[in-house]
Amino acid sequence: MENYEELARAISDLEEERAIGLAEKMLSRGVEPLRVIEVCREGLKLVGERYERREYFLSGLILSGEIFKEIVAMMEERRLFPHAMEEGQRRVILGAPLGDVHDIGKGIVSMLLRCSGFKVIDLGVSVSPSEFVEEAVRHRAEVVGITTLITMAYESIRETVSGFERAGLRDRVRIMLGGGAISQRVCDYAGADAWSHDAMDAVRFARMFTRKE
Amino acid sequence: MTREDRTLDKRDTMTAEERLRAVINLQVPDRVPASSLNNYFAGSYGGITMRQVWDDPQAFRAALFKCWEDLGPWDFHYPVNVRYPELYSFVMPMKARWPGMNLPDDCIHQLLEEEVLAPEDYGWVTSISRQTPNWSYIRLSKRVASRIWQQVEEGWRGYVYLLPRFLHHLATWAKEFEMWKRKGLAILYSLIIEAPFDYFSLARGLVPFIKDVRSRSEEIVTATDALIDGYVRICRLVAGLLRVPRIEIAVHRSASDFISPQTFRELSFPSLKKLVEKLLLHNITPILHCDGNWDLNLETLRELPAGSAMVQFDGPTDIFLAKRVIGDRVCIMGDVPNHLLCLGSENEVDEYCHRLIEEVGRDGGYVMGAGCEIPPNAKPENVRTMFQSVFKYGYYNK
Repeated sequence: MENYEELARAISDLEEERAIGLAEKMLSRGVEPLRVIEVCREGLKLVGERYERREYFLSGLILSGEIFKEIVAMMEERRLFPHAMEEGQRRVILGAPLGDVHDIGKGIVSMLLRCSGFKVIDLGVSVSPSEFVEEAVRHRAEVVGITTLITMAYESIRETVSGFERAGLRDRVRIMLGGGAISQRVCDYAGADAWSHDAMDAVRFARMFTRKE
Repeated sequence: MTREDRTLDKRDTMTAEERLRAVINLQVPDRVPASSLNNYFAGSYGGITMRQVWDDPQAFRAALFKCWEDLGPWDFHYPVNVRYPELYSFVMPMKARWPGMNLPDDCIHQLLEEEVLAPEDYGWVTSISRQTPNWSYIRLSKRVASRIWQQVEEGWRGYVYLLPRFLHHLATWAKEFEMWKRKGLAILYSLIIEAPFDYFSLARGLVPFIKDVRSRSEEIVTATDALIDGYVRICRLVAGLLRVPRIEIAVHRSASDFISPQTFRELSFPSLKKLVEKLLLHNITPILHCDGNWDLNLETLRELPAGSAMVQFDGPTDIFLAKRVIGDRVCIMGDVPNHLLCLGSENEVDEYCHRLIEEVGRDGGYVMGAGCEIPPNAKPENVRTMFQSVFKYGYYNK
């Protein structure tokens, strides 16, 4: 009899070794890898709830994401990772805008989105407006996330949003902004759909934007 | 030079230096002073490239002077352009990309999140701090510089490379300081350092450091505490040479955007407080540059000695809350948001500055300034409005 709750709790308590050990045991006993991933995500959801209650801070989100990463790495090493699962995943494009080479915020958002079941296509830093549009089309992404720490990127972000409009994609692709240089004023200026300084909000926005009616 | 020559407006009854000392001591000055963290904006306004801001002091001085003439005055000179990028490792221990080196000439420099120090370096820092307590900060920063810059070799050759550049940097700043003092300004500080806990956070990289906080907290506390004498030594040296008894301590990674208030209280604040207290013993005033959201750490900051420090916030902190919680303990500086300076109207900037002066400036203890640095693409008319607000609304005896 598997104790799924125990694994979820270990992740929620940020107990790395215990969580990895429990996941390993489950897999050795023949539990479906997909089920293990689902249980891990239950644990990550609990972490998210503790973050909302301010029991945890960014450090807690990062640590739980690292535990998840370790478990996925262990599954991949044993060729057990359920890659087929990725097919149906909702896709998010992430990138820092042209002129901005910071990637710490984007990295954290990417990790949180992956932990929450999204397939993330990370375009890296200093991404041009046309590249955002081309990659969103190529990957059939519904959400684009742009993170920046510099005010000089405002024009490039605005140009990116305009690029989606010109390509006739604006009603199909939702655009969210994040990072220290972003505010409601910048969101309005660029014509984006949402913004936040809180990395967890990116997950909330992405869920909201990809929810099927 | 007469006293009148050194005032910035005919209504002023204090010099900028007197005003600065008054606000730090939580006394009511003649008016609210303004400070200008104005590096890249001065460059773009003055028509020079971002590369020139760093590597052409003469062009930068001319650009900043044009900015001062057209959009100022302001009270405090806020120096940040370290003369050589290799020396920047002593300020922020991170790899960076620089305009003219690995970025186009007109980009601002940008920091990269990579591991520069290894976990074993906590023990090394503790060990060298015991061997040579006064030189630990220099030895650590030199190790960081060696790992970032190929030309800064390990061992004594690295010092041979850095020392003349450090002296040239000091000479450049000394010249700038004299120029601004002649115009009636006070110099805000003579050196920027990163707070001990935050130094390790930047040099280890955010994710590895957050893991360290969980698994190596004792090593962090021991190493940060051991470094204090080394910090104090370099601060005394530079403050003495440049004759500016104030030091900026950047605290980039202790906000609750990164760590919990409990971690701040237990792992970051003890060494920060000790550093502040030791600097004060040597009559050096600390100016804390607190990036991120500090709302949940304000109560802890109350433990800083009253009337002896300044704290600058950059926007995410509720500066009006900060006034209520720590306004009776420390002077507050900030926080006209960057997005407002870039995209807002003059009226909006004027309204926000008016509110800052009325609420945060009430009864003194406040310095008008941008949230962190004035961005290079700020609207000049907004920057002017910010500086003018202290003359429009900031006099205490109206």
